[in-house]
Amino acid sequence: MIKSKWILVRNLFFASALIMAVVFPFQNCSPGFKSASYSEAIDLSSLEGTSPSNSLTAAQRLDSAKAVLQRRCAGCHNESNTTLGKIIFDTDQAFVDNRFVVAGSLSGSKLITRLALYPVKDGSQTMPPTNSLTQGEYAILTSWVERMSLNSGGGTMSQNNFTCDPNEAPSQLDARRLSKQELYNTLFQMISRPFGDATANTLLSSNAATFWSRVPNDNRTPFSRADRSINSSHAQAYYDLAEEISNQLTQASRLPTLLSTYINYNAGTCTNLDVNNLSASCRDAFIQNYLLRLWSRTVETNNNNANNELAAYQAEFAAGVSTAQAVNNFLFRTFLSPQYLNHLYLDVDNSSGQVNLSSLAVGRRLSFHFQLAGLSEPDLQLVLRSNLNSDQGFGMALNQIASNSNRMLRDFTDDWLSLHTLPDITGGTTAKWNSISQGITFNNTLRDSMRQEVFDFMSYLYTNNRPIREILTSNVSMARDPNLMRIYRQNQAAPANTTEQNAVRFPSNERSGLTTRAAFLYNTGDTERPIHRGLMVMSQFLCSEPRGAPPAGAAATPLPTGVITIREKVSQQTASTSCMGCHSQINPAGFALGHYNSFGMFQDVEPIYSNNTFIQNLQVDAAVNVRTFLDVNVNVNNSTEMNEQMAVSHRFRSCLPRYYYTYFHRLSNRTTENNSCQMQRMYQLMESDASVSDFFRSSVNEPNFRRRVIVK
Amino acid sequence: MKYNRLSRRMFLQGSGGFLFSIPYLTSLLPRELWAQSTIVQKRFITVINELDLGHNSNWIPRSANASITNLPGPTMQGTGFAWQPLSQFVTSPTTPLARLYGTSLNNHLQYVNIVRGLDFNARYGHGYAQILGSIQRNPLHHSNAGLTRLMSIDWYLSQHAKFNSIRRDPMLIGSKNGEGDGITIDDALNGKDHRNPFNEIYNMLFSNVPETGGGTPPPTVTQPHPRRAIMNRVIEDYRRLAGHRNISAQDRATLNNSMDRFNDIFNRLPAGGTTTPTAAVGSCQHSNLRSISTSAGDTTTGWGYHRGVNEDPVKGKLLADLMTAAIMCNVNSVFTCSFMTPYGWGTRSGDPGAGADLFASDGDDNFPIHQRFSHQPWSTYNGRPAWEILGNHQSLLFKNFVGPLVSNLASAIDPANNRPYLYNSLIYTTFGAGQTHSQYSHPAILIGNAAGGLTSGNYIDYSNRSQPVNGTDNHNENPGSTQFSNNYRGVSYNRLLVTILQAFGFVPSDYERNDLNSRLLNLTNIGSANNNLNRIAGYGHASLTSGVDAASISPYDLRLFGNRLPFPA
Repeated sequence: MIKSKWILVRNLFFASALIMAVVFPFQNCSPGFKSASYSEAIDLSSLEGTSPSNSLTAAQRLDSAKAVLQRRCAGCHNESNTTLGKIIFDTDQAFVDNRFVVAGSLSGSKLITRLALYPVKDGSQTMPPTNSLTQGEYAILTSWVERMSLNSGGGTMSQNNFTCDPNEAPSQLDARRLSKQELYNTLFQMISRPFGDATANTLLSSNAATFWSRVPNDNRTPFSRADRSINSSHAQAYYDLAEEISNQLTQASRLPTLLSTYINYNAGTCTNLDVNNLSASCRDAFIQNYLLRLWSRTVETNNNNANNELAAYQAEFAAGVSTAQAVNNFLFRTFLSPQYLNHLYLDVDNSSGQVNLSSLAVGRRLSFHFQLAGLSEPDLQLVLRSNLNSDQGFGMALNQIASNSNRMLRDFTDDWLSLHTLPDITGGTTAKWNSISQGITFNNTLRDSMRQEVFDFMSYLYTNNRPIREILTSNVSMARDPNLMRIYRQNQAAPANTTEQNAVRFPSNERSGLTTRAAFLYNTGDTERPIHRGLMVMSQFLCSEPRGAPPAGAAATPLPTGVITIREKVSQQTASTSCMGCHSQINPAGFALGHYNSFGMFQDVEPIYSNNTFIQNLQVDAAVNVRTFLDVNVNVNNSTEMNEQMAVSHRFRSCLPRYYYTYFHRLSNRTTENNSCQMQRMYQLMESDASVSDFFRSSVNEPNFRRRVIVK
Repeated sequence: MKYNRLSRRMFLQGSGGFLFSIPYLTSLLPRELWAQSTIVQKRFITVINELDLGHNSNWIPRSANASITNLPGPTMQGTGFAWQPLSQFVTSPTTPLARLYGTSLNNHLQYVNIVRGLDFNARYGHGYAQILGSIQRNPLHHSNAGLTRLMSIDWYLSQHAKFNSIRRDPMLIGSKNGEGDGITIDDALNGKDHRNPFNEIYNMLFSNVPETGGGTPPPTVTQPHPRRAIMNRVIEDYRRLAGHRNISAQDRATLNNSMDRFNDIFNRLPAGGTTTPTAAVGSCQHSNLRSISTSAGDTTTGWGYHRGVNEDPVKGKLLADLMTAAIMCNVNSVFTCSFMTPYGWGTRSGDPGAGADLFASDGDDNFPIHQRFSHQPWSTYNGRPAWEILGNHQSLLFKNFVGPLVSNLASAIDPANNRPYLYNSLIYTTFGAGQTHSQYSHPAILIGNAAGGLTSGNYIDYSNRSQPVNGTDNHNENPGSTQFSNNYRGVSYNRLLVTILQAFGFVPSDYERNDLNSRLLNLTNIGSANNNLNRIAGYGHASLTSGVDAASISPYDLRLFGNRLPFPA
């Protein structure tokens, strides 16, 4: 895992370096001096060797910074240089808007990190290319940026760096195949309607299990599993599955129920169902009602689009073919139909010049997003009687469909935190392990419980409209597995329907938020891995993988030995200047999680072993300053305090939207896009302490969700 | 057989309607119909010649005046590999294709593929079971005891209803000794000996098998597959939707891709129809072979050694006739034949275990073939290099057995589809190892078409001429030395196994297993292409040792391990 993380880190490093190289291409030019005439600019010479005064106003800090930039940078970075462009703006907000500065964040401000005096180097060309800034000039710029997050001009400045183009185009929504889970869920719905959940479960899990197993698993690389196309293995498996299910559903004992259920949804002129002699009206009612549910789409009954689907499927009910065989053939064909096997948005209204999805198509999109399935019967009925192209109708549908979002939450959380990659749990045999395991049974059931607890926790936050920050601060436990409960030192299992009132909470001050859940903390072996934990925090909550890579062989270098804590060992190991460029950020994030042993149990003291022999307990020190990775100069004593800082940090608010945006659009890698109304809105929601459910609904609650672009 | 993916789609978008028939997979039939349908029974015949190394200049086709470096012909588009029709190597019926074959295959070159550039991923071949995919059965030469057990493909085919409806174990014919012992058998099936000598073979094959007459059978009428017409309408659904006015270019591409995949299935479903045989078909006649089989015993050379089946034209023809009769009587569909060297493996007259092993060769004079010839291919005997003597001896197998078998099967017509049995079969002939005891360029001579599953008639070269190989094998032979020149790295040998299985209609989900190569997953030291793999497809072990032989694995791209080899259309 560490290795793969490093590969990711390394790749991001190179990508970042490339971007920076484009932003600040090397120019062999001397920073020319242009006389500044800022009336409130302070005398630079007075700052040499001193700290900038804290008594300066925001306007004075801005003017002083502009003076430095004018003197040292504007020689190259100016409006007449079409390659580099200008670097000086009139307001703090303009610096933020042009992405030179992240208010309050030195490490997030490229105007600062590219300076030669900035302590962490990323390998890019440093600025100015010659004649580095003086310490005084550097202090003016850093003080200006650091303090920019304070009250500036009468209001709190938002650090929301996402931009929103009011003319942003909707997605193309091009066809892609259903995921394996979506296929299963939809098939389950179709069987369940006439025969109930138990039969559906039996048919798919027992009778058709062999065929189901042949459907290729989706790519489990996070955010990559929605491949667009099918391959020959898919086609063969779909064929086998269609054969099996068609045969099962048309057995003599099931056929009447199948027909009557679907016909009775809207019988029309079919008044007398004769299974042995199906009338044309009953046949058509069956075809249309069944396909409406399989496809979440109204069957086309004319040739306006050269696509008379009703007529096409009537062919299976030709004269001389028994009803059972005709229905069998019909089901088989529909299970292989493009409208079923694909997300396919053909039903659009472009008469007004805009490509709006039909009401049913919008409902289908909502359903697949939140429930990973076609429209359930209640949802379908609501959609049929509503106009989802109106805000009111859409709002009603959204409220109903998104009220059941467990599958989406599970799917997203699994991707976001890579929970499916949790290693096997097999326990250990060392003396240390025997001591700390405390009778807990370690197996993959426990691993699955750890994973499930995270899923349930996200569902709890969503269902109970808890604020987004509680993802990192809530002390509600959803553990129900006795072994996991022992790890969490809780005596009571989480109730089936956890609410704010009946929730089981972790022992006081022991843990809060996702980073302190066992699924996040667990690693194989008996040794805590602060570097790994730090990397996970930075990658998955802050989208801030350190730029750079450890020297060759570093990962395999044994930690120092001796009667010292793991924190002290890691500190020694990474103390060199070359290491601290990254580890100054990684280590604190991991050290703050020092109160949890290798499988996540709380510990005040760390047992020290040598040669498999207990030596002594050492007090855990989880106190860190979060400045290096959260850009606020705050000391915290433990993970709870760290999480509180992280939950309201600019970095977390910039990161979580990226993961959700990536999931929403089925992108293969975490997005680096900044121009997105969706992400800007998510950031705003986090800033305003909105609820988890509002956050996850925000991406669909916009006009573009109901449109698509058709690129011919 | 060639299938142009676009043709179907374009065709349907045009006039549409015409259905055509090509061979199909029984797997696509409803299970209850498998046993009832008129299905072409395919046959897999392996002839493994432990006689022993395949020196390049012995088995690679050569023109009368061309060196063994003759360059292959046109490169297969998109593959980077090269091929050339075998017919271009043979200018007359008397032109030897190569030392190994002489002229024994010249009349049937349209059925033959000679394949070069198949490398074992790590370590050398040299073991029958390994050659057919069951490496853990050959602990003699590798540290492979820890490898997961796996059936060799002959056993796999024989046990799978998709291939062998009668589920009869493979007919194992040949030597019982040395590395041939337990040939190809998974441990769970151990105890299945090779049959030897002929009376055992005859009884094993034909006990209680009634004879039937030959002649021209009446026309046969077969029904189309019940889903065939519906599949046609499924494809029509895709075609119709692809023309919808609200569809994007990407939508259309996705639908067209799906349509192609389903069209592949459609093409494999039998179309049915009336078949009128145009030639006399084979009968099931075997009693005439009984007496010969009973009397065909050991004969010795002047040196007192056995004269093996391969060395004796009468015995070779008898074995070919027995196998042909067995195929025409449909008593088995998998035949695995092994031919051993004698001396050096303990079958020399007077050695412990020596006996009437008709499939152990005499060798050439008083010369221990394997240990002396194969381990010292550049030593000389009577002024000739050992590899040349070896090649001459190997050629007897083709002259006396493989050639007659191919002729028999090419001339007998299978009533199931009115094609020669050879077309419906696949004969795989190979040796114990390649040019040296190394992992490189394991020889593969394929004869037959697996009932349309494989094209034929070509010399195919998967070796990469920019990557000559060097280093020494266990006997200090350097495959890249001037003595052995023209050795290059190629592609993973196991892709041949995948190719054979797929030619017989199997799909990856039938045979792929996740437990075989898990130790090679998520590693970071086995080559840039192989680092951090999360899955290795294909059949068999991707490394021939139970450990991680990184240096040997790294030149090969395991992402392609499960890919079928490209064959010329």
